[in-house]
This record gives sequence, C-alpha cells and structure tokens, in this order.
Amino acid sequence: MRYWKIIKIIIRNSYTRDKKIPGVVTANVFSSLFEVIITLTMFSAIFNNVESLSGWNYYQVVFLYLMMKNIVLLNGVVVRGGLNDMAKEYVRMGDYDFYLVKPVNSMLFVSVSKPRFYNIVVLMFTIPFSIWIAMKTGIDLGALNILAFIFMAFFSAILYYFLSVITIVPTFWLVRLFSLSDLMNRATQIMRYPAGIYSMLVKVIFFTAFPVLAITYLPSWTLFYSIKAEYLVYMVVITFVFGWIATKLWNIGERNYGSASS
Amino acid sequence: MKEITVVLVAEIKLEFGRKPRIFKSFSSKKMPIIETKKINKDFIKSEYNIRQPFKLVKSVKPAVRDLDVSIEAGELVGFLGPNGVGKTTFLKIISGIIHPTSGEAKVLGFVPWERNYKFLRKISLVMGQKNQLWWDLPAIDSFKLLKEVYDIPKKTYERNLETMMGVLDMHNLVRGRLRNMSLGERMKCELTACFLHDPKVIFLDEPTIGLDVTTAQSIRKFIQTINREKKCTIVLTSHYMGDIEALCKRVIMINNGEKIYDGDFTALINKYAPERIIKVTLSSPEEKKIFSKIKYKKEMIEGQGVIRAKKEDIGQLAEQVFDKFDPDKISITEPDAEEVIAKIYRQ
Repeated sequence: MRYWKIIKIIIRNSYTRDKKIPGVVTANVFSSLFEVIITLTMFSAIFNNVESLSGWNYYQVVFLYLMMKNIVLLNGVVVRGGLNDMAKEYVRMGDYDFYLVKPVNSMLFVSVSKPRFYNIVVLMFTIPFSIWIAMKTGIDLGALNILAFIFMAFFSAILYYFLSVITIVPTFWLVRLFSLSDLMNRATQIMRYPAGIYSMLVKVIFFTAFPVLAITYLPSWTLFYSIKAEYLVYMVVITFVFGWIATKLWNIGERNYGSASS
Repeated sequence: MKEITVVLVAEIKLEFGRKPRIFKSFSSKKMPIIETKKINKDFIKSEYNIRQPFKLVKSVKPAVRDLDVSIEAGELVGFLGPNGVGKTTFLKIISGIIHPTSGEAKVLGFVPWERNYKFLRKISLVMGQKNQLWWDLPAIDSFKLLKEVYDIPKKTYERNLETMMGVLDMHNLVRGRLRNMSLGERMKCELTACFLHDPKVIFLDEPTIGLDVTTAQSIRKFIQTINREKKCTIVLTSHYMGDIEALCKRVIMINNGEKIYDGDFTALINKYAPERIIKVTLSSPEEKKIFSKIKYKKEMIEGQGVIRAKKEDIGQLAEQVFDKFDPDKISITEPDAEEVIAKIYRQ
C-alpha cells in the first residue's frame, strides 16, 4: 500500500513536471508513434513477399510487435526511466546515496524515480490499435483465451522489468557503462517476431537463460491458439525466478557500490 | 572515561496456562549511539593496460584506516580535515551507504550497512553538494513524497513542516520550484526534508558549502537550535572552520584516513596555539619607539605592533601595554582557528 502511494505521488509529480514542458512530451510522443509507423511499413514490405512468418500472418506479427511496444511503454511509464539513468547518473554521480538511506526497497525506489508520463499518451493509441489488430487476424478469440492472455501479459510486464534490472546491475562494478541501459532495447528486437523463425539454440537461450521471447510469444500464442497450462505455469515461474535473481544480483551489486566523492 | 550507566529492568508477567515470560529492557544513559571499531575502507581501482590486454591492473587506495569512534546521544560532533582525507567516506559508512572493507560499527544499535528499515527511519543525510529533492518541482511536492517514504503520520508531518518553515523562514519558498531557488534556499529545503521524520541521528556533509556568510550563519544557527531542542545526534563534516567553531564542542580530526585528534575543540586550539596575540596600532614615531622598548618577542606588521605572548604571560604583558598606549588602539585576540588547523595538517 505504501509503495503504491509512493508510486502514485511520483507519477503525479512527473505529470506536474511534464505538463510544464509540453515540447519534450510532444516530441517524445511523436518519435514513439513514428517508430510504430516505420515498423508497420517494414512489416508490410516483408509480407508483400511472404504469406506468413512461421505460420503467423501479418496481423498476428503486428500484434506481437504491438504487445512488445505496450510492455516497453508500460514499463517506461513507471520503471524504465530510473533504470536508464542508473549508470550515468545514480552510480557515476553518486546520487544513489539518497536512495540507500531511505527505508524503502532501493531497487524499486530507484526504478520508479523517473517515470515518463508521456508514455501513457502513446499507450492510449497503441492499446486500442492492438485490440483492433487482434480482431483483424481473422481468428475467433475465445473469452477464456482473452483472460489467460491478460493474466500472462501481466506477468510478462513484470518479467520485462526484472530482465531490465539484470541488464543494469553490472553498473555497480563498471561505473561508466552507459550502454547497459540500451541492452534491453536491443533485446526487445527479438520479441517482435514469432519464435518459430529462430533456430533451436536461439529459442533455448531466449526462452530460458534470458527469456525475452517468452514475454510476447507465450501470451500471444495463448490468445490466438489454445490455453496450455504449462505455458501459464512457466510464465509465472520464470517471473518469480528472474525476480529472485534480479533482487539477489541487485543486493550483491549494491554491496559493491562505492559512491562518488563529493 | 565517561560514566556509563546501564539499568536492567526485569519484570515477570504471569499469564494463565503459559510459562512466565521475562521481559528485559535496558534504559541507558550516556551509552554511545554511534560506535565504530577499526573501520577500514579501501577503494579498488581497475585500469586497462593495452600492453596486458587480458589483465586488469588493480590499484588500492586506502580511504579510512582503523577508525575507532564513539559518539553519545545528543552530541554534535565535527569531523575536520581537508578535502580527500576520508571524512565523507567515513560518514557514508556509518550512514549505511557504503560497506567498509573491514571493521565493525553500530549506529543506534544497528549495523548501518545492513540497512535495516528501522535504522533508516531514524537517520537522515544532507549533502551540501547534492540534492535529494526533485529539481523541476516545488519543494512541497518532494516533502509529500518523503512523507510516504518515511510513513510519517499526517499530524507529525504537518507539525514538523510548520516548525521547519518557521525556523528557517521559508513559508514563501516551499511552493517555488527547486531549480529557481538560490543555493541557500535549496539548502534550507534540503534541511527541512531531512527533519520531517524526526530523525535521531543526522549526518551533515558540508552543509554550508558555497553559501554566503549570512545564509551560512542562519544554517548554523538552525543546526544548533535543532540539536538543542530535538536532542538529536548530529555528525557534521566540514573543512570550513566557521562551521566547526560555531557548532562543535567536540571534533575528530582525520588525516589520510586516520584519526589524529578526538576531543574538545578549544583544547585543541590551546594545545597547538597556546599563545594570544596583542595588537597595537602605532600611528606616530613616538609610539613606535615606545613599542620597541617592550621586552618581549614582537614584530611590526603594516603599522601595527604585534606581540605573540604565552597564555601565562598575557596578564603582565597586557598591563605593560595598557600603561603605555591608548586602550582604543589595543586589541587582544586568540589565534585564528583556521590557521591553527592548517598548521597541524602541515606538521
């Protein structure tokens, strides 16, 4: 409850700040939407030459991409901003000191410290667009499939956060590793295509060791095809496992935090 | 050695159907609230050398060495020393920000770097060179966030905020955006943020750095008042002698990470500069002639006669000087603390 109140205040503060700088907000919204348009253009080009990607039609692939986009944006509203600034600001400049002396979970607190409220504006476009695309696939979506999809998407968003944390943790040792914040963005490229197009080795790695593929593919598969109990359980289990790993790594990294001299 | 009193109260509560339970409570007086034993901190730096591409060259820089410190509740202790001697590093260790390489520490009964939430609720940290408040927002919005972070009851929050705004005269300030404030105003807001949750121990790292004389004075006055009224323990690091002179009865001097002095500030000054300075303004050749006849080690600096006398000689010497010169032209001063400290570090 207390964490919810903290997040609420931080988001409200972010809104108060962002509404005073509409130029930045507008620029970010347009750049995000532009990326969606470019990707859709690329997909159209691909599907002009092939009928399907590993059995997935144009609308299904677009849906996968939009699901990735929604999860990234959702994380962006609350937790990604803080993590992105971890290397260049919090650890390098020593601002993380203030997070360590607060009686709250420092990993969560630093993650939510820089919300990007404007991502909500983009989500207001991408979520309805995803629903429309899902209906255009021509697949009859069952109510149970939709419920299972929502359940799995919830865990997907959390799993994405934990994986983002894991990619940021090395900054506690390698202070100026700014490129870390971009690592997860690179990984998201994998999430936009159906798993069937990848080789077995890639699938094994990205479903288990660094399960970015599971984030979009398993919920989407559940929505379009059938509900598999093992997929549901797997999604929940890997979220908890990677949550535990992220927290442990963060705590170990924190012990190595040297702070910057004042 | 200061007196340590420990009162052990044992009460036995009898409850039906249960074994008697013994509750122990300790009420302590003059128990150290901060205690460290042999704290060491080494910073390890790794460097890449193109001649050894598969090996990182590591260098160790000791920042704190075998630091033993004991601070009692309600004390206002100053950590003194030039830049880079380990003051802030030690402060970061005892506030739980960084882990020491070796050694033990207890602050309010907790190991600081374990970062127990109960401990963190009882401490506060202000850094003169860093902001914890939101840069683009009014200070009041950051205060509201801290209310939730520390889980401060509404009444306590409102009472403390009102008190702080009154003491620091910042009623018109809290609704202004932080980035539009002067450095002094920002520091006032940082101090307010630091006291909202009634901390028992406050760590202040260079709180007056970069501030003008008037603001620095008001900040010092505030620290004094809050230490007296709230009875909280304050650990202050500064290389500004003005802060230390005005606030700290006790100082701990650090050099190269080691403690070189721990005790009364006045005693330190007396120990290293046991003399007093008598200055006489000499405006005529006759006065200069009279001054030259005084039998004591003396010098002339820019039209002033300066005598550095031992404390035990000052009475007799002052009598001589007052006999021969107009009292309006005479001043007796203590040595400048800043000079004394610089002298100690030079030694």
